[in-house]
This record gives sequence, C-alpha cells and structure tokens, in this order.
Amino acid sequence: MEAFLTGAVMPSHQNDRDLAERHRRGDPQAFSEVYERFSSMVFGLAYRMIGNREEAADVAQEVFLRIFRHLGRFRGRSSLKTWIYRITVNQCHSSLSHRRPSGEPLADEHPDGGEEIVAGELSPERQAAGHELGARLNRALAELSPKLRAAVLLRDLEGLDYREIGRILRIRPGTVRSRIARGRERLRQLLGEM
Amino acid sequence: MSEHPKFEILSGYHDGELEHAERERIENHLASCGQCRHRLDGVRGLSARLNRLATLEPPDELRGRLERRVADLEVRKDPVQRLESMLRGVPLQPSLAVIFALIIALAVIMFLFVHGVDRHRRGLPVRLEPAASSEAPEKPSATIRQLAGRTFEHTDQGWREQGLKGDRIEQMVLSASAPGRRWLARHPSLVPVSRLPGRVLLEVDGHVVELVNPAPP
Repeated sequence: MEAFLTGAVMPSHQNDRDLAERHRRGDPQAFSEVYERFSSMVFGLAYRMIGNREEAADVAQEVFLRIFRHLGRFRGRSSLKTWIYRITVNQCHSSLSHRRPSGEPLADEHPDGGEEIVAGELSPERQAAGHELGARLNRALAELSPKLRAAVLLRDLEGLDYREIGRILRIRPGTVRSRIARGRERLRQLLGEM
Repeated sequence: MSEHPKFEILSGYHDGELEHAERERIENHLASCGQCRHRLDGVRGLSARLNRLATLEPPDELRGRLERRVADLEVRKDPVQRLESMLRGVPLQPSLAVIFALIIALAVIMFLFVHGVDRHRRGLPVRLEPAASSEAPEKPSATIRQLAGRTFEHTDQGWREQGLKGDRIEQMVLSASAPGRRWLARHPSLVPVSRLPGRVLLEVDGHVVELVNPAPP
C-alpha cells in the first residue's frame, strides 16, 4: 500500500461521490483527502463521546478503517459528512458498550480535552478559569447517557440541525428535539445552573 | 400563552426548530415572562459553552497507525478482492484488462464449442466449424468407405450411408434441418466438423475422417 496519507490537502468542496468513485478505482489520494477533511471532526467527536484521548484515537482509527473498506460503496444518498458522523457515533456506542460494564467514569480530564476556547489574550487566571469550566463541562457530559450525549454534541458542538441529527442517529426529528432538551436540562443540573 | 412552555420547547426555540405558529406563541410569551427569558438565556449560555469547546486534533501517530492497518488490510484481502484491486490499479489497468478480456473470450469460445457439440448430440442445430487440414489425416479417394461399422458410398448425389434412403449426408449434416437433426440423433458417433461444400468431415470414434468426392473420371 502506498503512503496514502501523506498527500497534500485537496479542496474541501470535492464532490463526495467523486471521492468515493476515485477510492473505488484505487486512487490512494482519495482516502487521504477524506482523512484530511474529517480526522479532526471524527477524533473530536469521539473524544467528547468517550472522554479518553487514547480510546478516542482507537475509535477514530476504527472509523477510518471502516471508511476505507466501505467508501467505494458510498452512493451519496446522504452527504459524506453525515455518513462519517454516523459511523463515528456507532463506533463510539460500540466502544462504550464494551468498555463500561461497571460505570467507570468517562472523562480523563486531559488538559487538551478540558480547555474551553476563549477569544483574545487572556490573563493566566482567566485561562485557568477557562480550563476549569471546560473540565467541568466534560465531566458533566460524561454523566449523560450516550444517547443524550450524542444528540447534544451533534447539535451544540457540531452545529447540525435536527433533521441531519435524525439521519445520523436514525431517529425522528421529534425524538432529536426531546433528547437534546433532556441532555441540556441534565447538563444544567449537573453544572448547578438550575 | 399563559402557561410557561416546557424546557423542550424553549430548547427547540433556541435551535430555530419550531414551526412558525409555535415560534410566535413562544415569542409572545417571552415578551412578557422574565422567568422564561432567564431559562432561555441558560440554554443559550450552555449551548455557547459547548460550542466553544476546543477543536481537537488527532494524535500525530494516528496517521501512521492507520497506514499500517490499511496496508495490512490490503495484504489480507481475499483473492477476488486482490484481483479486483489489481485491476483497478492505475498503472496496471490497461494490460490486465486486456488479459482479463482475452481469458473471458477464450472461456466463452470453449463453452460455445463444448455446448455446440452437446447440442448436436442432442439433435439440436449446431454451428459447424471448418476443420483444419491437419485434422483430416485420411483422405481416401474411394467411393465406398467403412466407418464405425457403417458403410458409406458416393453416389451421383454425393455421399450417403448404404441402406439408408433420403438426403445426402452433406445436406443432412450441414443444413441443420429437421431431417438432418433426426439423422444426427440416430448417429451419435458421427460428429460433423465441416461445412465446406463438397466435403464431409466426420469425427468417428475420436478420429476425424473426410469423405471426399472421387476424382472425376
């Protein structure tokens, strides 16, 4: 196999189906482009879902292996992004179901995972406060059930609308709305804001 | 709206996912309810904080790990997948495609040949192929020929089997007509292999024998 992940980043407007077709024909650059476009998204969502950097990397690896195996059969009925979100969420659910039989806490409070981005130059005190807020948020997220966590993250972290979230989670928009609301309500309770 | 809306409705309102009429009702309520405005601010604040969580880059080693796993996948592919992969490889594609097409063509020709012989044996119309000259080792110039326990003789109308009346062998063998098919069905050991005019090439017990017209006197 050629070093398919070493190529230059191609324009993000590359048509999804063309990308799939190129992969099917054996163009190694196609998968490289997929990785460049979606690796942050996949790893970021996996980390927020799993709460552990190492396991999130394992999940991301499995996600991209599945993409590699099945990209050639991608027919474009949904966007590539939606398709990859679905694979990622499913892989996270699978990982969580195998990992947490005894209710082991999720968040590893890794500094990278806990930090909250705040625009502009900040004093060390405010940066520390930002880290603490982010860490609290991560801990609260870890307390949600995976179903609620996935719905909230897809909405508030990834910015997807209810219809798209419904396609990813394979649930109706009404159920999406309910899960997001329950997740937010629970988060506010956990953060002591209610 | 006098009652406070459910949290789910406020959450949906914040996301812009309510129907027009419901959105209007919420806005009317919010205009006069400080408590619900406060609840809505809470949703907005939480949503904004989640949205501001850092974008995370995957660890650098993920790329290398993935490359190794994919390379491993390529090696473990089953033979069909590997062939498919080879065929779709850019540098090899043209030559392999030609070879692949030739193999398929050869298989089709062999199938048709075998199937054609089988059809003939079942008395069905067959496509008769010319035989190469090397396939006709015996060319007796005689008017009577013994083959597979049968006697063939040449008459003014051409070759026919002694004791049998009817069309000439050439016609029956080559025309694929109904009498020809019936005749072939009665003589399963005789396999016509030629459609050349004036010649009858028969495969008899594994040998190709030509019944040639005698030289004119």
